[in-house]
Amino acid sequence: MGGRIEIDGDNARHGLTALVLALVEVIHAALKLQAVRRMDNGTLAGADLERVGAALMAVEQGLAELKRDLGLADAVSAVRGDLDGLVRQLLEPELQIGDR
Amino acid sequence: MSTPRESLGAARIYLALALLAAGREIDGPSLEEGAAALGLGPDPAASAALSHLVREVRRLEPRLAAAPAPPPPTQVPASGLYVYGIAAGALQPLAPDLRGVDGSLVVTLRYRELIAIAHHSPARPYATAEQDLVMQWAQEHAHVLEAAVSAFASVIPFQFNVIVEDGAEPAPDRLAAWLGAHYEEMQALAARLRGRREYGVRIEAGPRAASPAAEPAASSGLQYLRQAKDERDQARMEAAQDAALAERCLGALRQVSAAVEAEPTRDTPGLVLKCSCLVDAEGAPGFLQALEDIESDMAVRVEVTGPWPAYTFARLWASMP
Repeated sequence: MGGRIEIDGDNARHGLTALVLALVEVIHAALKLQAVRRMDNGTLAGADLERVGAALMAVEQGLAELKRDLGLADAVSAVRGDLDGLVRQLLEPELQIGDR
Repeated sequence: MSTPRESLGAARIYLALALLAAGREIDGPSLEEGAAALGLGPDPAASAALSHLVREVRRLEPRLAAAPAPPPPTQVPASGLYVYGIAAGALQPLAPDLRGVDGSLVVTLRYRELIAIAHHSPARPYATAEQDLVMQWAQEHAHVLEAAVSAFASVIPFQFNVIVEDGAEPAPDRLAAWLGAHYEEMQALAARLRGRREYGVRIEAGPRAASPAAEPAASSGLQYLRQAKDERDQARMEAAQDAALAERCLGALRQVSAAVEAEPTRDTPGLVLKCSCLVDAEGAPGFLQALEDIESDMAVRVEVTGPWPAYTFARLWASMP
């Protein structure tokens, strides 16, 4: 096997792939944060801790490889920025005339 | 036997009927005018009596009273008033050819000590799918308010698309009613805004001191999570530093502003403070100098926009339509 998946940079920016990867990253970050909290308060320890950590690490490495192979690193961080902006807008509708 | 006076009277009656048919107002003076034009001798008493009679007849006879109304004004009848804002304290006249949204001619309407800045508009809001057109309208709206700030001591800016529609009463009357109902509030707001402009300030953190060196890739799940914990602690510390920094910046800004309104920064990394400042016109140089001092003293990056009409504070301090 081998061969690269050619995706046009422009259409990838708005494409499904970048969106899916961005969402997976968001979920991954949430799971990682939860694991750290549980490590802190002792509810995750020992072999379980190692197993969860190793799994999260593997996902992170896999995501990095995918983004590299598909050339989507910039596109994914752009989508994540858009998602953040969208959430912020929903939480704090603003914008008036003359807005900077 | 008809006396000369009676003949003259008859002529006047015919004249009155002629004026009536022509849709002219029948009153003593206009009858006299017509009589003089016809070469009839002056008889104001007869004219007055005749016009009184005609008016009485009109009251009783709707058919007779259906004389054509005076010709309507030649401009296109508008069905609303687009209001840019309310001003007080005229300093100099607004340019009579000032135009605003969609090239509409700007008019002013006075209500006691307040002046509404507006234009006659259709009743529906300005809406379009074209982004460029929206930008143009927004700029035209802002342009009128900028002109107002030079012409008046206080300007209370309204948002885009505040339109008073004709209703049971025409739009100007409805606007006057609104101003009457909110008079004290608008006057108080105008006083608070007198001679003051709004600036938008955005402060971003400078380069961080001593970021930890990039760690080697974790070799185990445990190490991976430990590194994650360190990153989280580092992020928390930076957020706390930013919050403390924001407090100091706010303190400095409050010294040189009449009012400061901070926006929540919502965990945007690197963003220390985003706020609007209300500054006296004479205090502007001091305000700008304070921003430079903040930049150098606190090792941050300061971006400032303005001066603007006080959109944020108007919205904050009074019930806007």
